[in-house]
Amino acid sequence: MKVTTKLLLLILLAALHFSTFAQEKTPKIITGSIVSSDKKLPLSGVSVVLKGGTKGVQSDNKGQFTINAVIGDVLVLSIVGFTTKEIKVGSENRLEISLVESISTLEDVVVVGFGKQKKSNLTAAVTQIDGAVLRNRPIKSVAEGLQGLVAGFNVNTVNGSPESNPSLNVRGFTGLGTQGSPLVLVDGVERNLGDINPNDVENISILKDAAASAIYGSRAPYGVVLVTTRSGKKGEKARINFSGSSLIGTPIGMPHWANSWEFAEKINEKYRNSLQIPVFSNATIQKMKDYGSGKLSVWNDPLPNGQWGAHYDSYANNDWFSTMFKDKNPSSQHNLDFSGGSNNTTYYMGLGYNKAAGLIVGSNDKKERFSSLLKVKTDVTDWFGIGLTMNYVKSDEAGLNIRGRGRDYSDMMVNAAGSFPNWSDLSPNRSPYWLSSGPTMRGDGGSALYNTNDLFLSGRFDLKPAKGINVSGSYSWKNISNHTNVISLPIISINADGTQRNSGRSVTQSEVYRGMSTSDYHTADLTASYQKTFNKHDFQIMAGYQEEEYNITSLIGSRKDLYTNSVPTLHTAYNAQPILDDALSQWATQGFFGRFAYNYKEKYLFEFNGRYDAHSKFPADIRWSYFPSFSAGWNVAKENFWKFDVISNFKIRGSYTSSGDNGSGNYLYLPTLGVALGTKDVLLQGAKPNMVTMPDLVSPNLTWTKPKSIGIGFDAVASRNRLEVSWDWYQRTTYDQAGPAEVLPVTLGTTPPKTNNSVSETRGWEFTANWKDKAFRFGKKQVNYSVGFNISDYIGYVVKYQNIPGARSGTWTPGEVFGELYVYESNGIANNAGDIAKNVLQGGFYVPGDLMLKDLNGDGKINSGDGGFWYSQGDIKKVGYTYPRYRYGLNFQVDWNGFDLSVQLTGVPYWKIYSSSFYVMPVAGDQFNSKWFVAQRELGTWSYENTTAFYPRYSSRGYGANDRYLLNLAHLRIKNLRVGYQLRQKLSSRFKTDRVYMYMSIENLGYIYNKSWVKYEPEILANSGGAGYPLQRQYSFGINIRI
Amino acid sequence: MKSIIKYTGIFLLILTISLSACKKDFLERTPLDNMSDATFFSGPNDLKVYVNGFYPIFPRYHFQSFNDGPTNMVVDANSDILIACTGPSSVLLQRGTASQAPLTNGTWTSNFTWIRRTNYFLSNYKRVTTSPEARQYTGEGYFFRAWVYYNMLVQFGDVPIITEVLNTESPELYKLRDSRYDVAKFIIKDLDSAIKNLEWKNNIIAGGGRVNKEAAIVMKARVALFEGSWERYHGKKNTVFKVAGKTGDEFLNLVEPTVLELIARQGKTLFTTGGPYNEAYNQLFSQKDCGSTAGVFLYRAYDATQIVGHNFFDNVVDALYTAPRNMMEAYLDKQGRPQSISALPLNQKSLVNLAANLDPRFRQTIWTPDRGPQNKIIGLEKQAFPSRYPLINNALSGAFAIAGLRPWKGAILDANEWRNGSTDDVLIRYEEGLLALAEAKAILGTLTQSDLDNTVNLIRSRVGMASMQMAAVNSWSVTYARNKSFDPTESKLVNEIRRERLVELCYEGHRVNDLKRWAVYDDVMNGSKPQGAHYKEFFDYFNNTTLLMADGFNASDAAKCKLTQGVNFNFDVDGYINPFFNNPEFNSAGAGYFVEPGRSYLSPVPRTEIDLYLQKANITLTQNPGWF
Repeated sequence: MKVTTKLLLLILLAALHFSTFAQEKTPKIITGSIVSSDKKLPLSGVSVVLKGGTKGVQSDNKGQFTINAVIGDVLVLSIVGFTTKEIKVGSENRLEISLVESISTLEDVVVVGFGKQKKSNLTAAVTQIDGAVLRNRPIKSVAEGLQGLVAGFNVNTVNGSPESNPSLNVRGFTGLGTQGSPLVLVDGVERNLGDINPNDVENISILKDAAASAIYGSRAPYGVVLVTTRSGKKGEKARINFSGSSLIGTPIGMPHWANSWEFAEKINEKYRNSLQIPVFSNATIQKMKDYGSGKLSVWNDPLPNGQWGAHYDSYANNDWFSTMFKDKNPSSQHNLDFSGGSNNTTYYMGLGYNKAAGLIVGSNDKKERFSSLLKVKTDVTDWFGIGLTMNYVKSDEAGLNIRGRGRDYSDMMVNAAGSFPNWSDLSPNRSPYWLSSGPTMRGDGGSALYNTNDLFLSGRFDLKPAKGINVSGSYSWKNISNHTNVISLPIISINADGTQRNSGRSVTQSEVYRGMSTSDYHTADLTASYQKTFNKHDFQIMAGYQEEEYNITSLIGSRKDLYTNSVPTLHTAYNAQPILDDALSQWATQGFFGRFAYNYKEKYLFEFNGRYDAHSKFPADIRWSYFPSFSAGWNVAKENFWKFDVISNFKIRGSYTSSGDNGSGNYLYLPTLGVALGTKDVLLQGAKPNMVTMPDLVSPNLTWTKPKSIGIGFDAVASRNRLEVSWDWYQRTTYDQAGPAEVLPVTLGTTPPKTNNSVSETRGWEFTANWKDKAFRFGKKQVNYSVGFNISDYIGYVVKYQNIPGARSGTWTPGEVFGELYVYESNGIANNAGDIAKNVLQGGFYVPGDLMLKDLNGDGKINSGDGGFWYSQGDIKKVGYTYPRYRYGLNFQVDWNGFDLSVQLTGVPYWKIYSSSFYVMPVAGDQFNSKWFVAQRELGTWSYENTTAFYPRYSSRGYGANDRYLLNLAHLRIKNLRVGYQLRQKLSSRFKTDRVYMYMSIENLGYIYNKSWVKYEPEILANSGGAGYPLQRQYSFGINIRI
Repeated sequence: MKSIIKYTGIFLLILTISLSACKKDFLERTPLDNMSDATFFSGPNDLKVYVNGFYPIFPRYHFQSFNDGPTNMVVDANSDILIACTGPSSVLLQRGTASQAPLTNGTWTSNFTWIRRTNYFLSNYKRVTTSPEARQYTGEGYFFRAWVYYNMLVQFGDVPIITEVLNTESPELYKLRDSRYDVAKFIIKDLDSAIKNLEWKNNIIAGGGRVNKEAAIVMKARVALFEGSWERYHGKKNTVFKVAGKTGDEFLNLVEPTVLELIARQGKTLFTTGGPYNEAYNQLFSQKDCGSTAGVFLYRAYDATQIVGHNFFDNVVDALYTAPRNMMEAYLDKQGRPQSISALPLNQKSLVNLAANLDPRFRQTIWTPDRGPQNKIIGLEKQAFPSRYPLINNALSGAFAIAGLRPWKGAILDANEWRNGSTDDVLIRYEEGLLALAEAKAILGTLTQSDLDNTVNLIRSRVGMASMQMAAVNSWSVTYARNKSFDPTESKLVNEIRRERLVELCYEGHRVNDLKRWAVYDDVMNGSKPQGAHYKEFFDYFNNTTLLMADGFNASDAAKCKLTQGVNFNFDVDGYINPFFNNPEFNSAGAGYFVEPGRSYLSPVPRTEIDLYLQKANITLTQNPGWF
């Protein structure tokens, strides 16, 4: 309903807009010529329009223009790459105008660690994104909005559940096969990005290069995401913004079951193929068909024992995906913010509400986030200012509770969705069928509620005691409390004879689990900087100190047997053995850091960053460590010999950084004793005794992992600042990773502690190009457009690793490349005994319809070689990489006359995985792990009648990972498409508004191409073989009003 | 301006100080929810909860998820007194197997883990002020280290003795193997410390399943007898396992004073109440609380209501194990004479006859059909078929076919015991100590009739068995064959004590170690082919539908019991059931069991360890004989 209302409003406003007409005054003809201010070259293509009107012309190739105007009109001259100029029409008829070249975005100031830097003076790879890209999109978190925008910044979808947040990574592998996360700082303090309202974001800086993040030392070994929230501006009049949108989500890539009788026949085929008696009788299959065609109205007959027919007796025709998931569901987002400023005080207040609804039927599966942000800054004197930030975010998540396991989406997608299609939701007596997952999905089996309160308070001061000197300090406190409330309820199913039984899809005893945890984080920093320029030498010195303190405490309790399901608390449960536990931990850090930056004429640039860091997890004697970084740049285009005028800026950069990663765990050097509360089968003195176990052997020398990075790159600006290109190459060698110690005799009596002995390396490159220009005029209105493209790739490998003799899994071999996919080569499906005889078999008895594999090394055996070492792979061969290679993003914007269109594409050209999940391979394992979905039916299984089928015969035989059933996850996705319209000022002011903007925005619209032969989401396939919570396509309609 | 700088400076100074300078320990963060070794060991309860962690080491009855320890039944199935019906034990089929040691050995690894844990305890317990409780747990600590080293001694012979908690730099990591003589001395020393510190069983702090002084005393006798007899017999036989220059007398001489300390306390008190069958020997092993069972010193407690249960009796109903024919032949007749010179009308073909005429412990150890149909047995009403003989073919049970001699020791049943048992597992009992004394003195030639009366005859009197008289034994004309685990070079008394030990302690996990310390393991096993009972009695019963139906079978089940030679059962030419008739090694032309005489007495030291010693410290860790 809300959507309809907004659409009507939109149409109404548009109609009003077109009906307006301009007032006429006495015209006069003005001619002019436009040149660039520095080189005095004529500028063509400059747009000259009357302010507030629609009339306009363009300068010709000699820089000349002619326009009709009246005295008092204001001419607005604008062209990409130059500062826009306004000229009031006076009595003169001829104008000589020079436009100042704007270094465009190069003059932009970019937020970097503990400061800001002119983009043109950066010596490290930093990409800044305007907060606008996050607005007016149906995204539930900031991270989602960043996907595909920045080369080398990998935003990976985890699953489609309402509470999930994508994982973040900068520049690929950070350790042995791992892809660590960057440090996320919001206004300088580490925060949970999921708690930030996208509407409150001013801009986001991604510090990709280690040289850029070096000022954070060991807190940020693998990149930094710096989020700056919005503030009021000095002297800006008070503004109120309202934005609201309604969303409709639909699932993407949801499979559907084929008919139950087809499934039953397939399972019988499997049994016959294994020379066993089929499990579904012909009579039952006939009943399935009759039920499917409506001849039968019940789907289950009582058994002689009074129960309903079970696995092989039921004859419904049920698509569990339709039973379990909604086709579409509504969500909404609302934001309200106030901002403004006087001459010495600014303020911003943002309020936000975001509801993300899940797809699970009836269980009210959702996440709601309420946020408020208040920022006030004031200059007490001209040399002293203070600021205060307060941010409170409350998140409420509600999810299903599947068999007492909470939000176990794996169980949901594997067991619930994988239930036989001949079962149904309700028994003929309308009680929950005991094998049905339907009641669980509807919330009858209890719920899982998660509630988070994130309170953030921060105060800061800025001192300017003398010219060029800035001293500032801040203190922040963050308190996050989590409440978990998981209620598990038994579902009662009524047998055919009226007796009761517990559903097989719920717990058998009611239980309540409650957990509370509070984390308390304090950080304080103090920085002083001095900046001085003389004779075109520019110096900046900055020094600072920071400390952090973190405490977390949690308490959990659970108790079975509720008095009544309607009041699920520990107090109202009566089981005599409640479970109680707690956990407490703490850590602290201190760090001193400094920066020295120098440039000469902004041509030769040099920067040094260093940090001296300590973490409480290490013993005092090796607690402190020093991390330096050097970077330099040379803007070649500023040299006199530079003749390529089309390229106005060409800066070469290089950097070296030594960083640190303190890893996980809190008290690495302190041995602690384990406790076991009656876990073993020992009885002493009538009871299970409590046991304490000896401390593990800990290493007194275990210390930081030390990533060392080198990087080179260039930034270029060309074609009158319309084109910006940058390219980066990097190599990150992660030294001293904690790995298995050298093997020692077992006389030691325990596992030797890990030591800093492993090394891995990652190499990659990034390329970004952006083009922004005016295009043609259409209907007398200027069409502006911009196109952006980014692409990146990386590869990682093991340099050094201590192998454990005899151990085969879980170890690495030097030279091993991360993410390589090795599979057997298929030799097709055998059509007859002759085909089988021609092939080497993997062991066992083969018949026609089985997949044949090639004996690549000709040793007469099909095997994977010597223990899976990369250099000895037997008959398996490398076919690709299991992580996305050459990821790219494309975005395109065009605006015309208040209308705008924006398209964002993300693509991966090279990505392969193999999965034996039943979402992919329906024909292996027992009947509970073999499925028959519509998509699989279309691909078909081999039989003598269908020898060209895609799948082998339906049997319980599994085959090694092979190239025939590889999944090619290469795709190009339309990530977002938005069409918007901004009311003309005159019209919006009629409604006493400053700005009114309406849009329709679609997230995850679809694919331009998707190479996989199973059409689930590539991420869901890669993460879980398709068995992950489906993603949603979100349609949203929204309006923004600024007063 | 200057003043601004000044004030700023002061301000910064104050701020810096307030931020951190005053917190000198800002970075000193200790675990908040874990005990560290600095804060632990503050009182006797700390010692208690730590030694509690040693108890999972004890053998256990098999139970669903907790099958990580050996069961005594499994141990004895690798000897001549028990057959696992699943097939011949691979341990006893070493013909043609490689003598290359494996890379790793689970016992070697896990025992050094236990050694580290016990050493950690023994190097820290002194931090607790001494008290009776603290002493008890200290004693337990010593007992467990002795227990672990005894396991090492039995399995590997020479092993490195490590008494400290090692770190990655400790030179002791490459310690050479100490001689088994030194290992045994070390174990005895630990047991002396244990005996000194532990309380008697009736003291509340040593009860309820905890290790106590009695258990440590019997354990000391066990170790002394083991090492003493090993040194003596391997020396006499001149095997590769002999200990040069040692006769074993040093250890054998330890046994008497050790056990006398126990006899002084325990006297003639044995468990003699007989349970529902009035069979005290049988029922000794089916007590729900061994805490009040006379003569049981160490036991593993079970209580199904605490979710610590077992399914030991599953073995009886599902017939996983069978006793071999030589068990039938080992028993004396009820007048106390060997079967070869018995005056009674013994008939090996009839279990009914044997039940009536042999040592009463036979009927209390092996199921005999005079007990009637199994489903008439208390507790077995619903579980068992109405058969008075163990099922020979598996058509009905679906379990393994057995060879007629079902172990019945401790097999009191009730419906719950079958799957979720609460009876305790007896680990160390008085009778073992008494028999150790008798054996040690018999070997040393100092055994008197009075000793026999205090030991063997005390045990026999419980079941009403005729006593052992030295004069009579010495007068018997009986051959003591090595392949029946006897030693013709030893006195008749020594051999009769060996027999007594077999009869009294069978199925409690002692047999393999006895065969090895007597140096007869290969003599007994090699070439032997296990047989069960004589087929005729079973054939006549199971092929007689009338008899079966009289016992309660329905016609259809009775038909399934039919025995067809060569199809669902078979017997050897002498008529005794062959449990492995499908295995060519065990038919008449087969070669039977085989263990390598020069190798199988000790397990190999894992090769990885030998390699590591050599590579990292250039030290040669020796391998056991026969292995490379």
